[in-house]
Amino acid sequence: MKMQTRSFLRGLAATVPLALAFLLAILTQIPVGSATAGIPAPNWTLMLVFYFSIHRPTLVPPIAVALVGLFQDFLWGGPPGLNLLILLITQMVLSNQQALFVRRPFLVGWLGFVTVAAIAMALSWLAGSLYYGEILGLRPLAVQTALSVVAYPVAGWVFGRIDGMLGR
Amino acid sequence: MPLLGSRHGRWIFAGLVALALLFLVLGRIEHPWVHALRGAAADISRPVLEAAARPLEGFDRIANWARAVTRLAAENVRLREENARLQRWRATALLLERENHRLRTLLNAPQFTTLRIATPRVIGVAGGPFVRSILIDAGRADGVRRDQAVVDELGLVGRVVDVGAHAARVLLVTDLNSRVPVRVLERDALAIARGRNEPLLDLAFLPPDVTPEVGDLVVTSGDGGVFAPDIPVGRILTVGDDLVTVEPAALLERLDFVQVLERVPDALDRSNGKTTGEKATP
Repeated sequence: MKMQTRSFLRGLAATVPLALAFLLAILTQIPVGSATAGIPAPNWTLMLVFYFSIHRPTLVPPIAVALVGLFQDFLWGGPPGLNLLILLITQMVLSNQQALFVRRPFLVGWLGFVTVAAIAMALSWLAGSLYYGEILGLRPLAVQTALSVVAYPVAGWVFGRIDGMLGR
Repeated sequence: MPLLGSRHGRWIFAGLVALALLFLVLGRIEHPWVHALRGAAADISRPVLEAAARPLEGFDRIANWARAVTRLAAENVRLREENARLQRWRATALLLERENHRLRTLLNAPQFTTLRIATPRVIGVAGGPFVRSILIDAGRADGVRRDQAVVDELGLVGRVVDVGAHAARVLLVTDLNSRVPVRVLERDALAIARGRNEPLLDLAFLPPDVTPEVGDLVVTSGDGGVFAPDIPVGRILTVGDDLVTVEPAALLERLDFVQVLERVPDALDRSNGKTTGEKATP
């Protein structure tokens, strides 16, 4: 294969995590179950940013992560900038913690995600309450966090397969 | 390289945090840019959501067909009875409409017509924890505008808040930011139905001398000009010392198709020869 073709394919592969992040942000809106009754979807983009910030940080540059967060904010109709902030802080927290999670048992990664999801929940609640000017109920956020924590093993496995397919 | 490992990285991070704060401020002051960007995001997600919903629609259709077949005979009897009942109500409604029109003309009161702008499908729901909203597959191109009322076959669903070219976002009556001027029909009392990000609404600013009862019907009052009057909002579910809750009439958990309505003064309707909507019938 020609050098140019190879570098083009490598460049294309590098966009896969972010394209997937945009797709997941859209797919969280599929009207399944009873989402309008107050059961939010798991935060798939947080899971993706968590996984790739640890295993392939070069594929999730901060500017692209910020765009994903902002797009999600506009899709969800909530405080614009909130998801941007949460995803950036997640990246910041993980920026020098790769050694803690890489080549460690899956449980370690999962516990790391539980910690990050809890921090994200607390920050979202605080920023949301300040934005709306009233103390918001914690239940919807707690439900979303719990769903995200439960879904992470499956999401992490899928991201791991994608990561493997992208090559180094 | 760690995100904050270099000076360059730290500047980028600080710039992005500043951008987030700027958008939070713009959102708080309801800047038109924010609404425009939300409308654009709805437009972008529309084709993906429609494509993703197609396989689910197939399953849905099969399940509905199987359900319909098993209930066909009973359903037929029920529909015949309902049809006869609705025919009687239609005659009564036409009589009352004529009488209402005559009395309004005598009083020289302004008259409004509720136009049905579109009957879109619900293609998405807000996945976030703070907002109760839905996405519909109709936008500016279909005549949908901000603040139009949205109903299902049973009652008020919400109002349009962000509009794209071919999709729009509807804030549900149960959202924390939703405030609907209402009338408790049996008590003829005005109040505000507030969303709480919970399945039920609560009634605020109810006059202190009014004691509503469980089961009382709550309808839009028409005050404020956004919602046409007399759209069913729900029924009172509980009456406490400090809290009166209302169960929404619309099937908010199973929304499929909805109607977008606009209230226009009759004179304006005639002079503009507006043809984007058709008159909504009760």
